[in-house]
Amino acid sequence: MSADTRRGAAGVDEAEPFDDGPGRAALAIVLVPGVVSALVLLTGGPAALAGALGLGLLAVGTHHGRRDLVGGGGLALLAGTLLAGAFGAGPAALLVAAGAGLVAWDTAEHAVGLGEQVGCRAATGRAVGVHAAGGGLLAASGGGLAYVVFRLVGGGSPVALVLLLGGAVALLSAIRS
Amino acid sequence: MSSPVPDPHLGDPGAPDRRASPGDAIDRTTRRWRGVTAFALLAGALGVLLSRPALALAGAAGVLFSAAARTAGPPASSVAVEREVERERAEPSESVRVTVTVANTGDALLPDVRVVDGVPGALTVAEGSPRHATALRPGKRATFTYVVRASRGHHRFGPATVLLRGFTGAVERELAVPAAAPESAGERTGGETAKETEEGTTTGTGDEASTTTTDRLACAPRLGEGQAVPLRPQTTGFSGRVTTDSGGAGAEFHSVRSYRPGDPLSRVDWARVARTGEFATRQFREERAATVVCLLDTRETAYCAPAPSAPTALERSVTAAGTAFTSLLDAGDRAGIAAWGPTACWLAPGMGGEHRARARELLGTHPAFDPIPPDRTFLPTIARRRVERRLPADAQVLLFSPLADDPPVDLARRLDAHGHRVTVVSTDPTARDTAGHALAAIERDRRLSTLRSAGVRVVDWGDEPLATALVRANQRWST
Repeated sequence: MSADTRRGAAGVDEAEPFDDGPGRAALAIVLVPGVVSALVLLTGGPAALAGALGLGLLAVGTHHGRRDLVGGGGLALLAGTLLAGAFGAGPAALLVAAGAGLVAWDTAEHAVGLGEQVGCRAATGRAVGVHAAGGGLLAASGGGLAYVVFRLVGGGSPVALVLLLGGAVALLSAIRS
Repeated sequence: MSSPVPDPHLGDPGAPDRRASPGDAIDRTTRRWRGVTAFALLAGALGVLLSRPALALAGAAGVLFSAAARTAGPPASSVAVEREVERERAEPSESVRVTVTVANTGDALLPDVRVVDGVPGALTVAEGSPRHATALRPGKRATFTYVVRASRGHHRFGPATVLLRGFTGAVERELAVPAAAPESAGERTGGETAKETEEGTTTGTGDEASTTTTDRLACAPRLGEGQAVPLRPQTTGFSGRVTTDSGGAGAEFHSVRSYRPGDPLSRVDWARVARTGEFATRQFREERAATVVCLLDTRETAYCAPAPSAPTALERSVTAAGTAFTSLLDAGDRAGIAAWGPTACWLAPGMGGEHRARARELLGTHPAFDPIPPDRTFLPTIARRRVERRLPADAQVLLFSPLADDPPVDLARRLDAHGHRVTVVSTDPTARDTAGHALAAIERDRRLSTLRSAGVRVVDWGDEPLATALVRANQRWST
């Protein structure tokens, strides 16, 4: 039937087409942890490249509402962290880079998800800001705790490594079960 | 509408049909932290392999987020939604402001609240967005407004869809929250009484237009006035404007017959008396009033349109029926309205201003002519019998149908066979842009031919104004 194009029941019918990009405010909020992570990675030699790539991907992905680009950006930041670690960056720098990278990805992904569900014409800045603050707080407190434990045990000793690894594995398995 | 608005942007992409309903929340894991554990383990392993404890420490950040995501439970569903629709009745394409307030009624922080209001499917959002995202502390409220453009129909707002997430966003809870009236208005219980008063409303522009509501917006456009619909010679005993084939009092000459005592002197053919001495009586075509029922095809196939943004065939049929109704009443005929579809609607033929107002209300807001295709199943025999039973024996039928399938053809022929003169006003919903569309157009043309060869008059109404189509059809019939 030619006349199969039916109107109505197709959801919220808006005069302007639905724009699923996150707003400009979201981009600014994403850039804060992203820049922190990339800046820390600058000290790690070749990791700086990965950091810059990750930051760029996050920014472009957030601006255009592309989940895959945002994911790639997060991966690049984490890969940069691993690279920096392999080239001998300090524990504090690595912790900050990893934590900020994860928060940046989390915020960007959240903003993209908000854009998809709510659209860029709705006000989303507050939601993104609160989410980023929550993630940042979690990363700061948890990371701080891990750093203190690391320092207390005596940074760099094999005991610390074993303790941290053992603790992490125990925690993960406990959560899994 | 009891179900929330099906929204392509919301819900689980894997199960788009599964949506929350009031009282039935859906929790789903978003799995967005997938892979973070892998990063933690990779960092730890690299740290061991390269003997760099700092790397293992970096992995701790991954463990942290992974643990937070895994321990996160669904957020409390302590959300209340209030909605205020600026007015209950609106004129077509009038802007109506809708204000929605979301409140956190629990005692825990809701860090991620996404609200999509249940805008009726047939309404267009003209300004602002019916969507909102925010974070709410206990007891806090967030308000957003948008403007809808009113269109014909009785629109019901659905429950607002609310999506709640915790800080990690690992678990998402979807709620359908029916909107309550704002506390200041406090007229929630007045809903039914408001509905009753609107039945008797004649113009919709009165004082009650300013009443605010929570979930309703009604819009009954003025009935169009224009070209008179040509009628067929099936009439009632009342005098009117339809020229019949029977001789009597009228304007157009019909015949001459021999004089019978009691014939009015003015109609005696005095010229013949003078010439031959015989008395004869001139007869004129009698002009009678007709009883016409505007029967609208409201089945699901009537909701077709040539393009997604074009008005549906039903929408145009309703406009045409309104115009026909007005012109019939203006001409002194008795007109009624009936729906042939899943939902029954019947307005017995009548006359007068009140009748006209009732017709406007019916065509505007009756659920049978809802601008959204009906959910109810259509029972062909029952629907046909319902129409046939109620049609007065001397009623003509104006059938408004896009003729997108065969049943209306069958209905028209049956009604014709039962002694009702049928005129089909067919709004053309076809497009010719693809082969399939062209085929459907040809099929429809065939249906028109079938009807015409069966002695049913057909007005094929394409893009032109209705008056043009009527004039063209009338010329075709009178030649």
